[in-house]
Amino acid sequence: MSNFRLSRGADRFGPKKLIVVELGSDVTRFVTVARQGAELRWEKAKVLPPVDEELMIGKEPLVNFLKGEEHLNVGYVSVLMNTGGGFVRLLSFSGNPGSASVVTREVRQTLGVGDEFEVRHQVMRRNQSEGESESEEKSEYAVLAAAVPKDKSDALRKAVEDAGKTPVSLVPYGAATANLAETSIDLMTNDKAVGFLQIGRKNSMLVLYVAENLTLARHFKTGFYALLETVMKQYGLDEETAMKFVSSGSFEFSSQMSSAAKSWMHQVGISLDFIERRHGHRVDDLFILGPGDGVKALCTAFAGAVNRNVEPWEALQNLQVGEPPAELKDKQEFAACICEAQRIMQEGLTANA
Amino acid sequence: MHNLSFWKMPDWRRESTLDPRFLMVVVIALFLIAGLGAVSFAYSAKSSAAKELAKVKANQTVIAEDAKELRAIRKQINLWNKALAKLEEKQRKRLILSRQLAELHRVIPDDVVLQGLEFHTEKVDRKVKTANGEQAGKVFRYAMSLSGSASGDDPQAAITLLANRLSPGRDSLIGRTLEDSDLKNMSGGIMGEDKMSFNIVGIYKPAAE
Repeated sequence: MSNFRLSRGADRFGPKKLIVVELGSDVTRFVTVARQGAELRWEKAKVLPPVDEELMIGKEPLVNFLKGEEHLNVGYVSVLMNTGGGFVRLLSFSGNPGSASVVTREVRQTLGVGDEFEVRHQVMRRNQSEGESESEEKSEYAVLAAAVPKDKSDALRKAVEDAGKTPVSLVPYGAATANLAETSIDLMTNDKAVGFLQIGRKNSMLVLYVAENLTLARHFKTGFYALLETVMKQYGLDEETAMKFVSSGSFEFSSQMSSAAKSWMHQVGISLDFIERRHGHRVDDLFILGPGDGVKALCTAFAGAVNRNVEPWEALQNLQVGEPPAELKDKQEFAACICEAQRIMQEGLTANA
Repeated sequence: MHNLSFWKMPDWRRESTLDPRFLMVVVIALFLIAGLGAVSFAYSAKSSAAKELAKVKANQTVIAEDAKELRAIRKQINLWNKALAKLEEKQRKRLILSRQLAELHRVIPDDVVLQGLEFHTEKVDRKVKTANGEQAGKVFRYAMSLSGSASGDDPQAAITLLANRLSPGRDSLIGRTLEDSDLKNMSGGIMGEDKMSFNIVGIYKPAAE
């Protein structure tokens, strides 16, 4: 009897209000977006401690937060999964893609996942390279693939339904990062090769574009904490104080990084070099979406490590959503959630117009 | 944008409309409500009619009492009518007998000697006028039987005279009240006998006429 409602939470274009929950390794973000006609409005945003394996935030189950008073009149939930064993890869296959089941089988094999994972894929593009003879002509295609543990997907779905909401989408964070990058299309003009690095506390996602095509999607199990660790150890500070110190710009990272941080930056550099060699385009710019005031320090550190132009990524400015709630200090951290909300709303508007 | 969602997007057209099953449930519920309403109305009407009937029956008890009383009164009336009819009968009987005897005494010639006089009543079928109108019934009438003898110079004449005086239509009390008479037997007077016997039967008119 979910149909028995006094007011309908959706029209034929999509939900009128949507909660997007980002399950991060260090935080859980809740964003509520409303739609009036084709216009989106950012209503609420909240940051809470991370969700654990049992879908608990602290001592409260996730369900309670979804059922909370502030979410009473919102009937739909999307989840961005940035923890819990899911991942995204950009795969390359030679030849031409077969049927969806054939591609799925190939993707599973390449990702090396069994039936305990659910797999989704999207064929990105097909390349045909010319050779001197017919036999030397090669074709290949790229597939953006994602895998998520089935039990996690089911548990999250159940949690949403137990909260009396309708599940709308469960998207791995890497795909959300790629979607967010593609809203910054103005940064990819003139066939440029551009990198976007989304940095969390203990993980990060790098997506590289050449001539507006996604050419690399790579996940790192290292994040901003690797840099904070250096400051914390050196000066005996707690994380919060170290964060303030780093954000002030008073600390110079380049010579005082931990091995984990150095390795991370080195891997990012390698990825940039690989794409440059493969596609013959120099990756001039790397845009970083990072934690609040610490992003400038990250840009400085990466610029020194990868020897390229590194700038903060103003991801929100290309999203068509109204003004964020006034009380928010760091708005950019919610960019992926807002982007997912926009994707869902636009899909509905396009499909059912 | 890339759609790598692991959950199926809801059908927004369906989400934004009423589920046909829900509509069906609502329609069935409406029919049930209408049905219950009709049953309730029928019960209420029946209950109200039953109350009305009880009230009427209660009133009827009063009417029944009145009717009983009326019936009793009518019964009484009938009884009185019967009694009255009987009294009238008795009255007629007394009248006829007493006056007839007196008249009979007057009309019998001197030469006639009555030896037998009998009055008996008969019941015959006639329409009878009662207090309730004409009704088929039985009425009584008197029959008179005279026997005697006549002597003198002309006993036959004396008997004949008596028979004439006792015939219907005569302008006398007996003549007005007799319906029929018959000189049944006249005997004697053979070979110059100076005595003759006779038997006259007279039928009186029924009491109602």
